[in-house]
Amino acid sequence: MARVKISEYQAKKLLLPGYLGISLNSGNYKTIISSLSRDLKSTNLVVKVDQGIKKRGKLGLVKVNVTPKEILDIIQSWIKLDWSNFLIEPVIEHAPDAEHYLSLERTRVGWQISYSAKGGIEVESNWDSVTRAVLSPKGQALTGKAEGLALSDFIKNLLPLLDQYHISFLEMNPILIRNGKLTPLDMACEVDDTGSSLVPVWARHASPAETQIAILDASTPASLKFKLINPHGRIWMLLSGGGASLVLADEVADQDMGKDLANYGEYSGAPTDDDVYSYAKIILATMLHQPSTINHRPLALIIAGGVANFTDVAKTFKGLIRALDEKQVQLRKAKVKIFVRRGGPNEENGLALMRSFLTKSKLLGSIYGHATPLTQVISEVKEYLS
Amino acid sequence: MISIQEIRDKQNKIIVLGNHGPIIQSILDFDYLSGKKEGSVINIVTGHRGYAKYFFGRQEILIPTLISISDFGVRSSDLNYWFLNLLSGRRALSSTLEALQLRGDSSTGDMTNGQVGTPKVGGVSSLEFCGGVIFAEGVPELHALNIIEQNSKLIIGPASVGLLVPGCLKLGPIGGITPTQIIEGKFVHPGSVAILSASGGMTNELINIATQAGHRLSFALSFGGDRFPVLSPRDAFLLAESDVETKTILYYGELGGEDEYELVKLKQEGKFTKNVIAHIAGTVASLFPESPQFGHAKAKADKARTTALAKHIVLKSAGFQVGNSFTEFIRLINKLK
Repeated sequence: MARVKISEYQAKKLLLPGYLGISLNSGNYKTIISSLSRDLKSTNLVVKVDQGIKKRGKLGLVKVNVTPKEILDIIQSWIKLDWSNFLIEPVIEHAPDAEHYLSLERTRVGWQISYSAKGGIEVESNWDSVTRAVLSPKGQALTGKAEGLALSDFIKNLLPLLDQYHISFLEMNPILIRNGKLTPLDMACEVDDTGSSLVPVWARHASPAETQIAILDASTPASLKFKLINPHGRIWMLLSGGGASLVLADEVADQDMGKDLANYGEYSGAPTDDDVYSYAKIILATMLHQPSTINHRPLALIIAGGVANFTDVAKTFKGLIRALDEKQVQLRKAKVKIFVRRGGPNEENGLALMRSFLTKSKLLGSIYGHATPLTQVISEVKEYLS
Repeated sequence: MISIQEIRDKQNKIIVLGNHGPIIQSILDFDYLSGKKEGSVINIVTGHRGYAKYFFGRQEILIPTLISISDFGVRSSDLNYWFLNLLSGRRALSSTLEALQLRGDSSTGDMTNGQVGTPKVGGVSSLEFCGGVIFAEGVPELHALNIIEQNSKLIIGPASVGLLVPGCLKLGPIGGITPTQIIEGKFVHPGSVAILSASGGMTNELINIATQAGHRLSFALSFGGDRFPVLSPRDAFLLAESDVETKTILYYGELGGEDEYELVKLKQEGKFTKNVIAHIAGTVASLFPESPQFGHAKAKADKARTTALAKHIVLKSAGFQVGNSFTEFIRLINKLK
């Protein structure tokens, strides 16, 4: 439902004809390195971590001019640091001052192009050297200084590809410019995944729960999101609505409990009770598995959302109750209290079901409907945890 | 683009694309509770010709269903026509363009008889939608840009719960889908507070806060949390500015995107003058090493200037009322006279 990073390998395969790089991961790197083609074996190589992270150069996650033997050691050391996806490609020799910076971003009025002659890993300290221009979708300059962008052929050829693959953002840093020819060395790329079913989207560095929920999300028209922030956190959230979830997470941080926030997430778009059940089940399992439960300090689970327009509160709460019911013994043992605030269709019914379940299972923190301000439960969580 | 006052001045009729029972019924309930003599939904495009059963008050009614939107028949220049597009994200582009194209050929005059070249006769003209709502999430960015390029109407969305003009028009699930929600939201009685929101759920939450504080709405809409909403927040502010009934705007925005800078520009250029109480959600992003993607497609801060805090500061220094937290935002609304 949004812009997602794809791997550098995938971006280059899509955008650079005849690209020679090879993608490896922690499972297959030995086999692949031992069977490198003679062409690659005899040249010097670059090896990099390919997981969509910024400032790789500064973090030491790019090594240049290495042999296949050295690559084995480098990758092993990176795997120890928990990296899993890598890229090797032939070195392109060049003078340092040939490194430029170029990025393209899709905006409402056209492509915003940013260019600097001072590219490379220090580009951020040269940020004021960046010139910008906006190009219409068909490549005519609308605004900005175009003279730094004597690049139009390259860009003109690139734009149709970016549309074809629903690419929304492409950063090439560094990119070599020699004799009018442009050669990107590193690429960072974001695709609009709503339009990119053709594009093999790279699976990001995700926790198991994040991966499970992403799979669940892809299997339903509703929206199911989850991000683990801090496994040691004592505040777990089962929220509904893209906006309300953000407001509630903000409130936790605003009330100085940011360090205790375990996760962000939301369900919305009228999920079925089965969707909500599966979603809650994964989150509860994660919560009960985490170190936060070991030291026996109380935990809070917040089940909250705004006043829904069309999501049925009773139906979704039935799914939640089913998941909570399965874990109620463990939840009591981990000293979890549950704080609820929700409004919308079938609100009374849903709240009554939840209240009766939470009371019976001795998990009730507090429970409110639409008449109580959205963020009040957060104050009560604070009281409970302190 | 049609003004909010023109929506109040004429009767509004809706053609729904996709048969979503609870949403359509909620529109008819709103019409009934507003004291209208008949429902505003006149056709449902389902892919086959027939009828769909609904209730208007206690009375069962039959709404004609159509194979395609181009089969749409009756029209009068005394009415405002709207489409409500409830189809999936993948079908949003083609179906919306089809609806827009209905205006295209004005030379055909009354399109019910399909005669090319028939001139317009007084009172009867070719259908032109005033606009519509695109409900689906997951509309590709390129598709939204394509609609923006071809559109000059009031099209709200994608990922919008709709537009609400109390007593006049409920175009989408906005405000809720049960009669209790419509009664409690006091949507029958117009007022002077407009609600503009990036989030569907928060639109309803703001309606809830405003009505509990004793206010009534002039209108409410959710422009949606996508990166390229067809009706941009800037356009939505201009709608509110030109509406005589609107005195105050409650605005809910999120991290990501540069729309708030456009709002500041409007204010500085004197094109926007009304009272605004705003909240920008997403300060929680600072807990992450790199801004994560939150629930809505636009809700991701790629640059320092698109974080919630940066936008909060720029709005505040331009003279908008902005709460330091959501709790304070509610307090500002409660203080509103």
